[in-house]
Amino acid sequence: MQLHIMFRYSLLLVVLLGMGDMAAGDWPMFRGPGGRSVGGDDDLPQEWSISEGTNVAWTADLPGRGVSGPIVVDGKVFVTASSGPQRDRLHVLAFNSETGKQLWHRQFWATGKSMCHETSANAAPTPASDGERIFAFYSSNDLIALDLDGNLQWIRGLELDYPGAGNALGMSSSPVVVGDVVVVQSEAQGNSFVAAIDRATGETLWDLKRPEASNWCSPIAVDAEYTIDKQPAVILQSGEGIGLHRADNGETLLQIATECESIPSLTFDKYLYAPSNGIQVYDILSAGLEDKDKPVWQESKLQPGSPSPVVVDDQIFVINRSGVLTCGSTASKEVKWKVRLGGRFWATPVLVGKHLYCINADGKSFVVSLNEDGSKGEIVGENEFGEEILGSPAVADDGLFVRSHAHLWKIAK
Amino acid sequence: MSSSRSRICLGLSPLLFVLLMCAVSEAKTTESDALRVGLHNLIVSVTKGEQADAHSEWQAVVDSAKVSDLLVILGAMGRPNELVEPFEGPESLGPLAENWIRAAVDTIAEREIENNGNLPTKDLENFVLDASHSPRARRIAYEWLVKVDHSAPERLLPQMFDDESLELRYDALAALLAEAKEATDDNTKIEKYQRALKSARDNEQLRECAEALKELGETPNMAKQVGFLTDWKVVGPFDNTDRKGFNTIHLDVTKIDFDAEYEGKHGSVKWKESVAEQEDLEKLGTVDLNEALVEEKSVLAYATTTFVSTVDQEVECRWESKEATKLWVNGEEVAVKNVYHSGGGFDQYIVSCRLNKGPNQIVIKVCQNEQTQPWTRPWDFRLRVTDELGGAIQQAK
Repeated sequence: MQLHIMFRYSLLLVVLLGMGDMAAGDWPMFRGPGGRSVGGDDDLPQEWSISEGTNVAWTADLPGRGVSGPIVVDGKVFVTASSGPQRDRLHVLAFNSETGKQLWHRQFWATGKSMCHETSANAAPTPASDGERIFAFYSSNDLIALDLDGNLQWIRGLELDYPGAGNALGMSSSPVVVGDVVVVQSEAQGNSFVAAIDRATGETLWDLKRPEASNWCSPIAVDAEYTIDKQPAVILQSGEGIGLHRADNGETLLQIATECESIPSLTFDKYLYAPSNGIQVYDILSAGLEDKDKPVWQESKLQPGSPSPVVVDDQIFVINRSGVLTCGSTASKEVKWKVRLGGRFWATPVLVGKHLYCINADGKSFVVSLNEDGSKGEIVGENEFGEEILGSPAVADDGLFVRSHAHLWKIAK
Repeated sequence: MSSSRSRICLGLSPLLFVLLMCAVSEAKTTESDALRVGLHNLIVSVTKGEQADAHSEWQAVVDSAKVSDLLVILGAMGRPNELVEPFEGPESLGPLAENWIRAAVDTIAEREIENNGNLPTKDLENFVLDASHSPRARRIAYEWLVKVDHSAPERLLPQMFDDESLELRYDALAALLAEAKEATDDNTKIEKYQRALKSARDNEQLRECAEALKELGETPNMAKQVGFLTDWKVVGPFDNTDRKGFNTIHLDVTKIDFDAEYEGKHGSVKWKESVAEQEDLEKLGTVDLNEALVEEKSVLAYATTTFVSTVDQEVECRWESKEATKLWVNGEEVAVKNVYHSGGGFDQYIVSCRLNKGPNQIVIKVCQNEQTQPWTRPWDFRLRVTDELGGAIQQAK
């Protein structure tokens, strides 16, 4: 592996973003707070029944397909969907988290390419929120900002600004809020870009030309508090490597040249976990300047399929293309255990307390219990949603929020 | 006027009554003017890309508008220049401005239903039926009408088989196809499927018609119906190693010489005839270059056909190819798509172009790359000439 490092700042100290405007317990973006897929102290059931309503707090109908996951902000659940024979009708919906009542529904027409693979949907990226606004992004490169009451703040049709962006397979990179901007990443053959849009005004503050190859990974935010220059930053992943960029101007702070996967996104929690030839683990916090681009651990047996890695403490969990859940330990640099779940997975699982909630594409869920010392995982619950589920679930307000193409459920005791 | 209000008016002097009515009328006019100015400013701000101003104007319109203003707002989508004078916005709204207005209408209508449980159904229906309005505005009106009047689709859709709103047309034909499917005698089925086929623009609906008619013993010429061009001449393979052939000039596309020989990847190559698929609905209109020339990686080919136009006209060329393509019409390069194996579909690419009355030369360059995965095997394209709604434009006989 050829590594190249460019380091404009003498020391970098990064920790996951703890979003300032967000209430504790919200699930404001793809994979939740910090993008780690780790919930709080929510007390979730291990068993439920959709058909009998057991441990199903409510069910809401959705107007179109969606590979996006729900997000939860300030007692409201927000979901995107897309519909129509041309897949060009874009939806944003808000529901009361407690009752499931639909609060509002906004619709728009796509301004960019709406074509996508039959598995996917125009509503593939999970929306993000800064606590005041919802940023709904779509495969068609439409970015729409609404306040929590559904009032339109601004709209960007980014394919109008970046002609040729996107492709006929569909994009799915989810936006991320970092500092004063919302960052979107759209990479395909044609016109690839990353753009940082002022979250209040909708103006583009900076953009970057990106590799012209299909990439469905999502950017990750890095909190200003933990960077040496006290500036928030964003991590971008592609087949050409990993880049850390200042959020206010896009300046490159760190570049690691390694060939990353194009579907599962990297995860950061003390270490940087990059889906690349299995998993590569980088110690960009405490390693010396010369060593930040050298993996401290590379494990080919931790090969993520479509779901992104889940990381908590020194444990990493990945689900491969065959539906096998594998746990690795960064502390001991070894694979600890495997559990065969079965089926094809698109949704990234979520960890709540000592339980990992995994849902395969057929809508079958597995609740995996983790023992105290991390030496074992055991399936303690299996439940059927009975519908295709591709979007990653959210955990908030003592509930697990799961969406199919037709329904949104709150699973709760 | 309500009876109580009438009684009050009767008690007033005629002069006072006239003055009062004038004041009410003026207040209404002022409110209406403010709405129109607000919409105008919103459109201008969106057009200039001034998002913050657009939001302020949008919020003011939404906060002040009454349900009776919905039609004014919808009307602005198709006739923005009737809002105020002088009008400083564009003659027709772009997609972003349409979305801003859609969001305003949805917000106001949603609020009205939440508060009062109803909408002005008759006005909405009249708006839907007035084809002079913007197709998208009519679609919005239809969707809100249907929310409060569930009988509206049955009443309105049979009038919309040829609607300029492809969304309304799709729903109308979906209802017609459902009737065809449920019909018990073959003649009725055939009649309904043929009617749907005549107006359908959606690929799935076209296929549904074709498959059903085939089962009923009918043989519609689907390639002609959809507008796929079927008679082509192709030449190749030329070298596309390292994808360098995409920008290499191999022949003069402004002056096609069917007698010429060219230096191909493996020696001399000449133009040869190739007929597009006309039976298999899945591959309808497809020119398979693997079959016509050679199945090989890192190659490219040119294909050309002559389209005889009945008049000088603006048309759309719509094509699909999972490989990189360039398109020329009458020697002018009209599209460059340097994308390999990133998905595809019916009408994957659409470009507007000008046809002259008489013969027009269409040339497409189709480049295969070096990838060897099974899904990268196809080396083909299909192309049709349509109007802006996707209806086939037939050639002169």
